[in-house]
This record gives sequence, structure tokens and C-alpha cells, in this order.
Amino acid sequence: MKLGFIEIFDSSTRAAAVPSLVLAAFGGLLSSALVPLASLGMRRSLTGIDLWVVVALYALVLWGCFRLRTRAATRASVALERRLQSIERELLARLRRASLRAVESHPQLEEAFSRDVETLRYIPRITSDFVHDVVLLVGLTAYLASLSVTATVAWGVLIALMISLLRIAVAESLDAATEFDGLFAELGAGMRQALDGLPQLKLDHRVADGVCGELDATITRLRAERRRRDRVQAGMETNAVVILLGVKALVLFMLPSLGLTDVSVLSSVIAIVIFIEGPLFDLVHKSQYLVGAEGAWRNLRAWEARLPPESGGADEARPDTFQRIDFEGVRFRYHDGDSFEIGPIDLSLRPGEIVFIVGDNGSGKTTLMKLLCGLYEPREGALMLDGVPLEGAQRIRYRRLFSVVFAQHQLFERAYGLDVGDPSQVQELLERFALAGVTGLRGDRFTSRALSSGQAKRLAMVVALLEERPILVLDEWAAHQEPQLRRDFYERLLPELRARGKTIVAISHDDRFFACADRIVRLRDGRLVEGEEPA
Amino acid sequence: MADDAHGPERRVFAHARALLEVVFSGGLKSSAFVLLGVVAFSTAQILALYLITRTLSVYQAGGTPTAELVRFVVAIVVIGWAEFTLRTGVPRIITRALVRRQRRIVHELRRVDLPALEAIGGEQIQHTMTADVARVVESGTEIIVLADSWLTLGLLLVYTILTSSDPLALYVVLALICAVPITLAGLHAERRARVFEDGGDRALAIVDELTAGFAQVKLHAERSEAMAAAHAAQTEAHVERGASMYRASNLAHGLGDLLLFGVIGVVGLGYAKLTPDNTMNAQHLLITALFMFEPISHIILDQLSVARAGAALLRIDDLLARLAAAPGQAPPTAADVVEPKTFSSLVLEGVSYGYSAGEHRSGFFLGPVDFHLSPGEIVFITGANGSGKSTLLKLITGLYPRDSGSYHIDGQLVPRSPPVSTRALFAATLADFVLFTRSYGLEDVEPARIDAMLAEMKLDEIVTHAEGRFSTVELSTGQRKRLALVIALLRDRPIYVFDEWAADQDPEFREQFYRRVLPSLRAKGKAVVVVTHDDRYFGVADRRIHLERGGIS
Repeated sequence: MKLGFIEIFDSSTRAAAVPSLVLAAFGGLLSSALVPLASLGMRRSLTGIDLWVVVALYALVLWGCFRLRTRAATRASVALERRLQSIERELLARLRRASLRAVESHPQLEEAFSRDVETLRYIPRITSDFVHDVVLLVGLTAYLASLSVTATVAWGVLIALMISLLRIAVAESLDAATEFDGLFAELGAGMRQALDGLPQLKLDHRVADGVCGELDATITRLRAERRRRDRVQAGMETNAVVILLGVKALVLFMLPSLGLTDVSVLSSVIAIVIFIEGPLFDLVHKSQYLVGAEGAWRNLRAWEARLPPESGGADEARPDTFQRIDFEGVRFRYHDGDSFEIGPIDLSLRPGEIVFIVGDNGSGKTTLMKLLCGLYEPREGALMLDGVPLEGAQRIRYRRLFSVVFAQHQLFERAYGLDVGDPSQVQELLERFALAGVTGLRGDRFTSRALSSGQAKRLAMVVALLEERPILVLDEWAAHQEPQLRRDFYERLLPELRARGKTIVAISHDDRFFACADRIVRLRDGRLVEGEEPA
Repeated sequence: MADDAHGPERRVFAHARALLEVVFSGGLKSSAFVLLGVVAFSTAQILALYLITRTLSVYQAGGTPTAELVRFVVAIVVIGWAEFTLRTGVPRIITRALVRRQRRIVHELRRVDLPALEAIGGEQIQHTMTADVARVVESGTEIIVLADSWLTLGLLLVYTILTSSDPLALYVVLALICAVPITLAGLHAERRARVFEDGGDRALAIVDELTAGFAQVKLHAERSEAMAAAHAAQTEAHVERGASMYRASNLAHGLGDLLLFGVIGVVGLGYAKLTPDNTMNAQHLLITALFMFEPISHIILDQLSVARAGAALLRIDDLLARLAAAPGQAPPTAADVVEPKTFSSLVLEGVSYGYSAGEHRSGFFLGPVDFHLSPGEIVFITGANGSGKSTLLKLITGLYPRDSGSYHIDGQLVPRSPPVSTRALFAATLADFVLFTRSYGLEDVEPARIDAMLAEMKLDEIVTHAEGRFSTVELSTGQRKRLALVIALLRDRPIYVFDEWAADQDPEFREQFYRRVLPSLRAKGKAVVVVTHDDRYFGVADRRIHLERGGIS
């Protein structure tokens, strides 16, 4: 087994982890001394040691163990927690630098944050327990050997036997568990399909029969598989329990006939044999965990390759104006070999224009909009700002020209990064969009986020206007609004914004208001339809 | 979660009760077996302990412990039997009980009306059906271990009191009683762990928001920075919460060790001090104390996961209760269903439907609307997004129950939640649909017809059909819709319903859909309802209904 996750202990974590591991080893040594010390105290008549020395030593060791556990172990865990959080922050920073396409094509990203980080969280505790237990086992075995070599050999042979038996059983149970996990995933997928296809189930009883029958069959197979897995595991556990009792029986009933006649030594041996079981079992379990931690660490590392940073660094200067934006032969496809393609598109945008993008669903309006904002990079052709092709860092700077309200707009919990100069301006806008009393902004938090889709769109508009950027891009903003608000939007708001020097690009289906546009860009199957003028 | 409103102690009891009910749900015989197993296991443990100390005494007296050997073997057999029986039996009982619940959930999916299921939410049903069930089922072993541990500990207490009259035995008793504070420390650690987890969820929520609204983040560097800062603040706080959790859990574990080793020390050394001549008795007490290690560590470790299993079980039962209370109708057996082959009229009058703004969706109201449909008729429904087109389709197909107005088919009043035979009038391709790999509903269709239809939709080079399955359903959006159309057409029902079917199609297929598919359906006497934005083809319709803000205009 490779232990790549050891890398997680970087220099700062190591400073806390190494002492904690050393202390854990020391703690193991101390723990292994406790039972011998107690036995020694009891047999002190045989050895002639002053009892008070033993008692003092014992108390000291006990206190030491307690402090090590509560202090050193906690410190190591906290240090690693800090490290994990910084890994999480690095991952977030990597995410923020990645391109929109990279993030859209990796929907399972959240798992890295939840599952993998969670698994790694137990590394400090497990590694320090691991070290503790190994040292403890070694120490106790040494003590056992000093009491009786015969007992140690007998014990060692039996434990080796037990561990090899367990290994076979573990392989078998892993096998059963894999089978089981596969079926379990199948049930999850079947459920997802059934839930997504509920209307179909309701409309067609044969579909319902089929889907639910399939689910029932999976549940039945899952139960059988679970039973098999439980039997394997129960057999394994029972074997372990019986063998451990057998070890005790053999030590107890056979050793005296093998020459261990001192009863007080025998009872010490028994005490050690009982005591040693716990750490032994723990070790077996912890080694299983370490395999999982290795997998989690590799998953986490894999994100570095999956989320390459966008070309160019951060360029903080914010452009206030533009002279013109041009598309020159821009083409875009989501995946290689995808039949859906946008372009080639030639298009230009001037300040103070109201441009409507129209066309059927699936004609590429939203994709064109994302290309315009610099969120997608053209596969071919160029996007030019004031006659200069956009490249690298300029693209990131270029995006700052735009405020966008998407069709699927995410309403964040807070107005992150919004610099509200004048609170009365917020209130004014909330009133204008019939949101006063519905929600508001306290600090950077929205007082309520339980909004209808129409209200949510209006709040998104308020935020977009507060951003004060030169170009406002709206994707079917009016679709969820009432006719009165819709009319107000097309006939008053848009001209007002134009009068304030804003450029507006709006995706719209509202053919009645097409006259409100200075220019209409019609898309059909990813291409511009020429010669369209406002009606 | 609703149960968070109660104190943690009350919650623990509710969890324990729910779990116990499940463990004893297997009938009298199996319940008796479980009890017998637990008692046998713990008693045999104590017997083994007794036999160890007893054998040592026999040796001390110079005897040969033959009878003890025999009894020890018996104890091993009993423990082995009890262990195996419990570890196979209890998970089986729990699995059976949970499988029953899973089947009931599947049954309720068929029974409960669509709006009620949508209100509960697919995510929750999915989570309960998989993760929660798994958590309860996996807890089977832990429940046994926990029960064994508590009983063994109790019996140890009794055993110590009975076998030793020494004052030091009192200390062992005291220590056993001290298991209670260790348990409490463990529960405290669990609460800290819960706070820690909830905190982690807060950081995770920011990550979720960021990925969900990633396009907005990319456009706005300040927003990106602010979210990173909020996340960083959460993670910093998380380290603090982590510190407090680690302190609590290490304290619980440290206390456990301190207590156990304290017992050993005081028993062994104190006894040796008080009665220098009687080291044997001290050795026995030492061994007794060592026997406490295992149950106590199990109690510390396993009570946590058992508590979580209890919480998961309550969630499952809560979902089942909500489903059981939801309106719906019992699914029919196959023999009951007569699929109508024709209809003569379908009339909705003054029908309205509304859902109020809730946590997951926005308020919306449709109607009152009138709608009628006859065989051999093509009706288009048009209107802006959000004007209620899809809702109207769901009212027509009976997926949503109307809040007011009347609905007649062939002059018969249709109940709010229509029977299967009414829904069997419709073959639909709705906006969000699932393609099942199996060709459900096409069992009676000749294979050659399926192949021909796939070829007609230019899918034959991509998808094949054999033995009731399609070779693949991993298709592009346009292809998926074409396959869905193939299935709907082969289903051969009197009324066809399409929700923006043509939106993702190439012009060629769009042309085919409007100019060939729809007219040929009309020619066969089918009625067709189409939600569409394609104004170029409005002429294809016999009638067009324009919806505006939940009403017909």
C-alpha cells in the first residue's frame, strides 16, 4: 500500500504532527507499562521493590497518558484540521480560477469538498492511534516474553493464525461488499429515474409497472446480497471472538502443563492476553481506514488536473467604457464531435444600443450570450474589444464590462462583493421593482430569499443595476413577469437605461415588444439570420 | 430537521425507541431469539471471566481444573453461537423491516398524486430511500454490540458485588458506575461533532452556491473574492469548532483510559498494599477490571453511530407518514386496466390550479380556463415562459388535480384525481422526461415496427432495440426527444401531448414533425395538443390557444 497521503503533513502541519506522533508512541509505551506495573506491584513480595515507588510511577504514567491524549492528540488534530481547511480553500481558489466550461463539465465537484475532505479529517487521529497501538503491542509482547517465552510463542502462533484467517475473510467480505455496493448504486440510479420520470409513471401504468417492478426486483436482490454479506461478516467476527477465547483457554489450561507453574505469572499472562485484544482489533480496523484515506487523497489531487486555471492572471483594472465589441467568425461547440454548433458569427455591439437576441429554443441564444460576456472561449474566430482581439488576462478584464441576469439565475445568500454606495439607491430600486417590503438588504444579506421566480428575477435586476457596469445582459428577464411589469420593462426601463448610457443585450420571446429594440439579432440553429429589422 | 427542536436527551430516547421497535418487529419467536442471544452472550462472557479466576484459584490450591476446562469450552460454544446468531439474525430482522419500508415507498410513488410528490421533493425521497435506509441497516451490528456491552457491564457489576466482599471491590463497582460520566462525555463529544458537521455544511453551502452560480461569479471578480472571503471565514471558524470537538472527544477517550487504568492501579496496587499476603485476589480483580475495557470502549464508540441510525429511521418513518397522508389512488392490477381506444370529447370548463409560494418553488396560478378537444384535431398552446402552458397540459392529462371548474370526457365527469383508464387516453412527451433503457409499454408492439420507426426518426444507426431494451439512451437532447417520440407514437393512444418537442430539433426534423407526424396523427383520428413557440408552423394547427399569465387570451 502506498501512503501518498502522508504529503498532507506539510511543513507547518509536521511541526504539530511529528511531536504528536512521537508523543503517541510514548503514550503507547506508557500504556504498555501500566498492566506490567500493576502486576509488578502485586508481585512485589517476589521482587522486593518498594510499593510506593511502583504506585508513584504508576500514577505518573497514568497522568502522562491522559495529558498526552487530551493535549498532544488534540493539538495534532487541530493542526491537521487547519491544513485540511487550507486545502479546501486552495481547492476553492482553483475552482474560482477555472473556466466556466471546466466547472460545467464536472458536476461531481462538491463530493471532493464533502466526502474526500471528510475522509481525510480522521488522518491525525488514526495515524496517532496507529502509532500508539503498534508501540503498545510491541511493548506488551516484550513484557509477555519476559514473563514466559512459551506463552509468547503460543500466543504469537495463535494470533498469526487468527490474522491470516481474518485476511481471507476480509477478502471475501470485500468481495461481497463490492457486489453489494454495485447493487446499491443500481437502486439509487433506478430511484433517480423513477423520481425524474414521475409524470410518465402516472400517465402510463405499464411504465409504472415496469419501473416499480424493476425497483422491487433490485430491492429483493439487494436484500439477498446483504444477507450474504452479513453472513460473511458474521462468520468473520464469530471466528475472531472464538479464536480469542480459544487463545485464553489454551494459555489457561495448557501452559501449566508446558512448565509455567507460577500462578501469579500465569495470571499476569492472562491479564496481558485479555488486555492486548482491543489494540489488536483496532489495528486491523485502522489499516482498513488508511486504504480509504489513500483513495480520498488521490481523488483530491486529481482535481488539480481537472481544473486547469484559465489563461492569464487577475487584472484588477476595471474598464468603464468600450467603443465597440466585435465577433469575427466566432464558432463554438460544447464538446468535440457535438452536432450542435454556434457560428460562424459576425456581430458588433456599440455603446448605448438596445439589442434583442431572438430565436427558437435551442437556437443558441444563451450560448451566444455567454460568448459575448467572455464566459466561453470561441473555438475559432475572435472576439475583439475596440478592435483588439481578446486574449488571456484581457478576457477576465473584459468580463467586467457586463452585468448579467441569467435565465437560471442563482440568488446568492448574500450580495457578495456588491459595493453599495448609497443605501437610498437600494431602496429606490427595490420600490421600483415592487420588492419593497418583500425583501431588502441588511448589510450584505438579503432579508428574505423566499421569493417567487418573478420576484427573484427582479431582485437579480436590482443587484445587476447596482453593479453599475456599462453593459447589461438579460436572458428572458421578462418571461416570468406580469404584463404590467413587462410593459414597464420594455417601454420605460430599457429606454431609461439607454439614456443613462447603458448598452443592453436582451434575449426575448416577446414579439410584441420587439419594436423597443434598436436592433434585433435573430438566431436559427446556431447562425445569424440576416436582414432582420425591428418590426 | 423537526426533531432538532427537542432536547438532545429526548431525541436519544426517541431514536432508541424507534430502533428497538424495528429490532423487535420480527414477531415473538425472533424477538425471543434476539433476547436469548444477547443474554446468552453476556452471561457466557461473565462465565468465562469467572472460570478464568476460578481456574487460577484451583492452580493456586494445587488442583487440576478439569471441570473448569469443560465449562470454558461450553462458554466458548455459547458465545460463538450467540455471536453468529445475533450478527446474522438482527441484521436480517432490520433488513426485512427496512425492505418493507422501501417497498412501501415504491408503492406510494405509484399511489400518491404528482403534486404531493413534487411538494415532498425528489431529493428527499431519494435520500431517504438510499442513504437513510443504508444507515439504519448498517447499524445492525452496532445495535447488538451496544446491547451486549450494556448488559455485560451490568452483569459485571452484579458479579463483582456477589463474588467479592472486599472494600476494594467497591471501587470496581464505583468504576462501573463511572461508566455513566464517560458515556455523558461521549454524548457531549457527539454534540460537538454535530456542531462541527453543521458548520461544515455552512462552508459547503457557499461552495454549492458558487458552483451553481458559477457564470455569475466569473463575471464579477469582487463577488468571487467576497465568496472566497466568506468561505475562508467559515473554514477559520470551522477550525475553532474542530478544536472544540477534538478536545471533547479526546477528553472522553482520555477519561475512559484514566478510569479504567485507575481501577487497575488502585485495585492491583492498593490491594497489594492492604493485604500483602493475598495477591491472588488482587489478580482476580485486575482481570475483572480488564474485562470492562471492551464493553466501555464499544459504548463510547458505537452509541454515536446508533444514534445517527435512529435519526435516519425517524426520517424514514416521517416520510412514510407524509406519503401515507398524501392524496392518491391505489395502483391498479394489470387486469383491471382497460385502455380506452377512442374518445369523443374532452371538455374543461372554468378550470383553475394554483400552487402557493413555498420553500422550493414560486407561487403560481392558472385559470380559470376553458379547453376542449375532439378526435382528429390539432391544437397548439402558445404563450410566454411561465404563462402556464405546461401546467395546462398537466391539468388536461390529469396529472394535476384542478382546484375548481369541471372536466368531462365523453360527457362523464372526471374525478380530480382521474383513474388509470382516463390517463391511459394520453401518450405524452413532456418537457422533462426520462428515457428508460427498457421499452416499457411496448411489450405488445412487433419488433419490426419499432425498428421501422427508429429508422424513420433517423435513429437506427445510433439505437437498436432487442429483447425489450434499447441498446443505449445516452443521446443528445434532440436524439433523446426523437426516441421519446418513437415510443409515444408506438404507444398508440387516442390523445397525443407534446411539450416543446421541436425546440431542440434540426430544421429537417422540425419540418418532419409539423408537416408529417402531426397531420398523420390527425388522419388516424387522434387528437393532438402541442405546446410550441414555432410561429412558422402555427398554420399546421386547427386551433391555437394563447396563454398569458395563467389565463387564455
